[in-house]
Amino acid sequence: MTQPYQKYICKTCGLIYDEAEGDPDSGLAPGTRFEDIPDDWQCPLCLVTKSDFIPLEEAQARQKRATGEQKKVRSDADVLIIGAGYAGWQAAEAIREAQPEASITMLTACDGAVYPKPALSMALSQGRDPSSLVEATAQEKAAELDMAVKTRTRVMSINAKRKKVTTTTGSFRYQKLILATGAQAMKPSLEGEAADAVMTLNDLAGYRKFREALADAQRVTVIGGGLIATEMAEDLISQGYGVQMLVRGANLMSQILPEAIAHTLANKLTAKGVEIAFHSQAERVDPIDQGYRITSDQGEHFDADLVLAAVGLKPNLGLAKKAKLDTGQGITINAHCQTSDPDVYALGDCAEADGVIQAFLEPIRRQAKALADHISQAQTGATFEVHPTLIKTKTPSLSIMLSPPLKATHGHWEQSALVGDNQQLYYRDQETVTGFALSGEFVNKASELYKTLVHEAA
Amino acid sequence: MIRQIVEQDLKALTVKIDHGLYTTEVMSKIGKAGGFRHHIASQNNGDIDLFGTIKDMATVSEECMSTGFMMWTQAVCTWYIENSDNDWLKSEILPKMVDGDCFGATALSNPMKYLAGIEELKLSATETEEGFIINGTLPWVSNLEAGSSKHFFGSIFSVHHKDGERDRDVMALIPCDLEGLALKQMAEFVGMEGTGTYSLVFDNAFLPKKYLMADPLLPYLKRIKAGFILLQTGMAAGVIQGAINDMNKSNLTLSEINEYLDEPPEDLQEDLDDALEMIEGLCEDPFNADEEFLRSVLEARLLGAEICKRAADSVMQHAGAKGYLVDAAAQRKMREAYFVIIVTPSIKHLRKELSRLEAA
Repeated sequence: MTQPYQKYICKTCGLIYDEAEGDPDSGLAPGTRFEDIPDDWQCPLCLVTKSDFIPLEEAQARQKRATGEQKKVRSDADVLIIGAGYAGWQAAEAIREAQPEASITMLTACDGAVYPKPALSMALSQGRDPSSLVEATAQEKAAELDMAVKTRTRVMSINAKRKKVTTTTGSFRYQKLILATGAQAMKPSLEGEAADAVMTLNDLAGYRKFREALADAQRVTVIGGGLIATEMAEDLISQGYGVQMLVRGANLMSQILPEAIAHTLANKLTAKGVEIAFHSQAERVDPIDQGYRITSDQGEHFDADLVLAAVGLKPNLGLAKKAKLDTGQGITINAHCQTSDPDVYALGDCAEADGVIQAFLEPIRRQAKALADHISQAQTGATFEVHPTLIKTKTPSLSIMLSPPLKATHGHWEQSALVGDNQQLYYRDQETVTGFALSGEFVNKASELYKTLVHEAA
Repeated sequence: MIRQIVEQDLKALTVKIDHGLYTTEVMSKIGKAGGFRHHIASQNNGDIDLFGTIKDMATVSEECMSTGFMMWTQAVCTWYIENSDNDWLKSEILPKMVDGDCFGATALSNPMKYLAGIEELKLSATETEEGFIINGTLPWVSNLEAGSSKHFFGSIFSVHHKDGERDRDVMALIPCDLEGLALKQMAEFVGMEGTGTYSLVFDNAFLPKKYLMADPLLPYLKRIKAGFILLQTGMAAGVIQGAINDMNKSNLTLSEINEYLDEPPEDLQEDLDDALEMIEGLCEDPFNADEEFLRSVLEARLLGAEICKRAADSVMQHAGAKGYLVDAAAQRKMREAYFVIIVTPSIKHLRKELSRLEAA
C-alpha cells in the first residue's frame, strides 16, 4: 500500500512542496517523494536547499506549541532587536540558538507577523490572500523563541552612550542592539491630483492594501521595470488583469539582467498581454471618471484603476543617523555585522557591507549567524562576507536564474550559448567572470555555475 | 535672566496664579528679557531658534506652568504673525508682542479638531469690501483680558458670500477690544486658573481686513504646524523638571521609603534629557515638509505627554501625605501635568493622528 502524498514547508520562505505536484520547473515530476529529491535541489522560491524543509505537520504542531504564554516585555534586555522583518526574526533565531539563556526583546512599529516576503510577488497566481501568508503572529513566534516582543511601538531615538532606546511608551535598555530597520519602497516623484493614490509594496501591510484596492480594479499600471515590477506584472496578467508597464530604460531589469534575456522575457510578457512602454517615465497621475490617468514624459496617456510603483528601495537610516552611526547607502557594517558603535549591530536591507546592500534572503541568513556568533562569543568562525547572490526571477513565462556582478564595473555580458529561448551569458570584467545569467532550460546549470563563481570570488 | 525673573518675581505669585490671579507683569518682564524673541527671525537678527524659546518656557514652567502656558500662547501668536504675509501686523504688533508690551493668544483648538475631522468650525463670517462680520462662540481661549487693546488672538473662521454660500476658511489676528466681541468667564478649572481663560462670543463683530493673516489657509497651516507643536514641548519639559525637583526634595527626608517606588527622579531625568536632545534636533529645521519629520514632531510631543504622565504619578507618591495638601507643589505639578496630558492635543488625539499617518 502506498503512503499518501505529503507536504513539506520551506522554513525560510514558507513555500510548500507538495509531493503530489512535484516541481516540474526544476525537473521533479508530480509524485516525486521528498526523500527522492536530490540534495542539491533548491527551493523554487528562495533557493535554500532541501535540508531547510520540514514536514508541514511538524510546522503546524510547532505553531500550536508556540501559542503558549506571552513573555513579559522587560525594559532591559541582553539583546534588543529593532524591526520584525525577515532580518529581525532571523537575528532573533540565530541568537536564541547561540545563547539559550539570553534575554531577547524585539520592538517593532508594525504588527510583527512572520510571513514569506518573496511570496508577495507571486501570491495572486498561487491563489494566496494576504492573511494566508502569515505563518505566525509576532506573539506566537516570540513564544517559540522564548523572547519578548512589543508590536506597534516605534523607536524614536537611540542613546548609544547610555545604551537605551526611546519609544513613546517608555525606554528600553540593552547590552547589544540590533538594527533590522529594513527599507522602504521609493515613491516616484509625480505631479497631478492623484499622485498620492499611487501604491507601493514592501511589506505585508502594504500588500494587504494593494489587494483591497485590486478587488475593484481591472486595469493596473505598473511604474518601473525592475525585478519586483516585472514579477508583479506577470502575477497580475496571470489572473486576467489588464497590465501596462512604464519602464524608464530600454529593457526590463536593466540593472541586473543582460539585454538578450530581457528582450526574450519582454516578448513573452507582451505575448501574454502585458503592454510595455519602454523609455517612458511617469510624470503625472490625475483622477478621471473611472480610475486614474497616468501621463508620461513622452506625452502618452495610460488609464488604469490602480497604479503600482516599484522603482526601488531606500534603506531606513533615520535612527542610525540620529545615533550618529556611520552610514553610506546603508548602515555601514563589518564582517561581524557591527556598526561603528561596537555594541550596535545591523543586518538586512538597511545594512551595507563593503559598499554593497544586498536586499535578498540568503545574505541575511549569513549576517544573522555572523552577528549571533559575535554577540555570544561562540567563536564558530561565522563571519559575513559579501558574495554574489543567486537570483531566481518569479517569471513563469521564462525561467531565469542569474548572479549579477556585485558592483557596476566596466565589464560586459557575453553570450556563450543560445538555443531558442534558452540562453547562457557570462559577465566578463577583463579576464574574470563576475556574473552569469541563464534562461529557459539552462537554469539547471545555475547551482553549479554559482558554486564556481562564489569559490572564485572567495 | 529668565531664571532670575522666576526667582525674584514669579515664585511669590505661583500659588495665587494657580488659584486665579491673572497678571501680565511677569510676561512683560519675560518679554524684556528676550523670552519670546529666539524663534522670531525678524526680531532676532535672522535666526530662528525655536529651542531657545522652548528652554525659556521650560525654565518658567518648572516653577509655574500657568505662566509657561501663557508663554506658549504668546510664542505661537508671534509665530503666526511672523509667518504671515501681513506687513502691517509685522511692523505694528509683532515687535510689541515680542517685547512683552502686547499679549498674544491662540484660538486654534477648535480649528485643529475641525481639520482632523472631529468638530465643525465654530466661527463664521460674511465678507464685505473692507472686512469680515464674524458670528459664533469659541470656548476656552487663554491669555486674554476683556476690552484690552493690548491683547490679541489668532483665529480661524469660515467665510461666506452675502447669499450665505460658503466660500473658504481664513485665519486672522483679532484684538480683544473688537466691537461686538464679548469675553465671558464660564467655567472653573481645577488648576491654571490665572491664565486669563474666557469663552468668546462674537455678535456681528466687524474685523477690518488689515488683520488677515492667512488666505489661502492650508499652505500656511502646513508651514506653521511643526513649530506650533514643538513649542508646546517647553511646557511638558518644564513641568516634568518641576516634578523631578520636588521628588528630589522629598527624597531628602523620605529616600529610604521612596526606594520602593517604581519611577525614581534619576530615571525621569535621564528620559527628559534624552527627549530634550531629540527636540533640539527637530528644532533645527521647523519648515521641513517631509511627512517623516512631522511624524517625529508628533512623537516628540507625545513622548513629552507620556513622561508627564509618569512624573505626575511619581511626584505625588514621592511626596506622600504632604502632597495631599491643597497647595503642595507636588499637587500643583500633578494638575499641571494633566493639562499637558489631556488638553489639545491630548495623548489620545496624538495617538490617533500617529496611527492615521501609519495607515497612510
